[in-house]
Amino acid sequence: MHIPDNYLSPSTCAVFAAAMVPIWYYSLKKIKEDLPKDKIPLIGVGAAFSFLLMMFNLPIPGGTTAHAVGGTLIAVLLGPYTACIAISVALLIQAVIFGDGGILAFGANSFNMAFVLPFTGYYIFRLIKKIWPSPLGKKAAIFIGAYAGINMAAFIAAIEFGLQPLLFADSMGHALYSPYPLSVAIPAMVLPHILIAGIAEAVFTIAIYEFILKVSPGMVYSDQKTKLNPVFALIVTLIVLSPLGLLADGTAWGEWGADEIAADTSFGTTLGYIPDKMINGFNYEAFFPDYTVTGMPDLAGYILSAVIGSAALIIIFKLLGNIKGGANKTA
Amino acid sequence: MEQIKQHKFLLPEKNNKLPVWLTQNDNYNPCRDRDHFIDKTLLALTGKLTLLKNQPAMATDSFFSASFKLICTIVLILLISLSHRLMFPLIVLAVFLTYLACLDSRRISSILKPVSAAMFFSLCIVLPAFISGQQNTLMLPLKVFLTTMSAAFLAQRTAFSALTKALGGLHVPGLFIMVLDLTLKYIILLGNTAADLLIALRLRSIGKNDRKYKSMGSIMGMVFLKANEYSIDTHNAMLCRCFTGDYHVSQKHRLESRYFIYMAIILTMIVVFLYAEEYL
Repeated sequence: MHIPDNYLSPSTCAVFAAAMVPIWYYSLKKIKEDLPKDKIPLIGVGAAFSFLLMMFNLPIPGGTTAHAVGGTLIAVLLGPYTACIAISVALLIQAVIFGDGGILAFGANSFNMAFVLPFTGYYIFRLIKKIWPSPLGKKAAIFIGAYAGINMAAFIAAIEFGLQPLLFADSMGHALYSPYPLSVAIPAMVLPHILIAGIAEAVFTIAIYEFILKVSPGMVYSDQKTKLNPVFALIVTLIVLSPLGLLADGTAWGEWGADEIAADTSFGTTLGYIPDKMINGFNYEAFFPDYTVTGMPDLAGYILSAVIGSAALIIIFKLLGNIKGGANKTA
Repeated sequence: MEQIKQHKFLLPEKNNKLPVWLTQNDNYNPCRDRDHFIDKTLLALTGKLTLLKNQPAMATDSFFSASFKLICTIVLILLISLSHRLMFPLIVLAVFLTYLACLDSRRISSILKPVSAAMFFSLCIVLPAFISGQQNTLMLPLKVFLTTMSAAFLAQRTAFSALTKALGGLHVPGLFIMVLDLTLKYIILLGNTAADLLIALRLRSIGKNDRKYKSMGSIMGMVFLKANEYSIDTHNAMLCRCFTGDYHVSQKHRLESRYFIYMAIILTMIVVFLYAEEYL
């Protein structure tokens, strides 16, 4: 779901970045008002979870891949506004350091994964929990919320892709940016998420939520103890297991490089051309392109990326907790 | 006689009325003065002094001795500087970030502040080259970030006295260590003197004092004079204690099992470096 640069026009990117600014501002305000000070470092833990979950690529029939995001998990644990900021920072690190998701498309990616996903997931969770107020109902609410959240985000991303050829094409009728219309983009994005990534997101969310509830109930209920060591142990386990994401060797739909897109067969036949702006558009070279390090085996590079990404997120939010403060109350 | 006259003058008049000057309200509103300079200097001085004074409280019973930390830091800085490829610095970055993530936020910011300043400075230097398309120039700020961070780790986690002792173990000339030791003590002593003088200046400056900045020279001069006084006192004290000009740092050398772990760590670092640079 990470839209790379040059798949969306700069004007589309600007619109989404502009839409995200008030959302980020309001989310930060809400965090400062509502989140207890001692819970601020937990945003980093949540962001690290999300970062790691996004590294577990799942193979999709047809040669592409998809991944979970963990947005509903953070939203249920720490609130949707916190999830918005945590995932936005995780996406920023992915874009700048690992080249996963575009720099220009950061606003659009944040809109899909840091706004649509956690808010949809959270409010569906709340609704079901209200209708079905029992422990089983809560579990079902988390499962369905997570499933609906990621599918809604994939649907919005598909609309963003699908509008591009309608709005931006050259005199030959060739698309300048993403070449797939809505009729191709929506099924290509939404079906894999309905069938595989959505279920993975829901399973990951419920499994990690249950684990946290068991080992560190303070992260869920404010009157109980927060134990971070088992949570860190889970992060380390996810880091060690992250190379499993390499087993799915295809590229996610809509995340191809310029060299791959000409051979794509989403239309039924190969596309046959590379959209102009993908060759001559914005180009940024990250430190770890696609979570790999030059000269290092992919497996080691992937683990190294996972360590650097998760540690950086935890450090950033620990520092933010120190500077920003948060609500002047303790959990 | 003069004193009696003054006394009479102070006595109340015969009709027991208060003197006029005592009945009037004192309407003195001192003009606001800007104390930013003194405040900032005092804060900076006190901050540094607190840091230095807290040094002896640092844990000295760490599994890793100060000598090992010192050697490890020197070797690491050397390896980072020698690396031509991105792999080794990135491995070190992963280790450092993991360690940082385990510290509390105050310590993280105290390490990252000087480190980020050094990194941004080098980033500014290489920015023109980066903008003109030389993307591998970003390696320099990364190396600066890592080397300064390793030095910051050493400074944060090791007491200065343990470090000078470790330098003695590495056969650094005694005179050099003595200068280092004395410098640290003098920084604390003179820092206290300067802080006292600044507080005195602030207390005596009522209202707007335009001559305050002129007193800065006097403060520095006074600190210098104090330094001279202290050095003579120290020299005399050392002579009384039979100081002959030699400065021995006592070291006990006994092979301990943890030294093998130290060696293994340093060897691992070197092997990883050689692998990352494709020498192996």
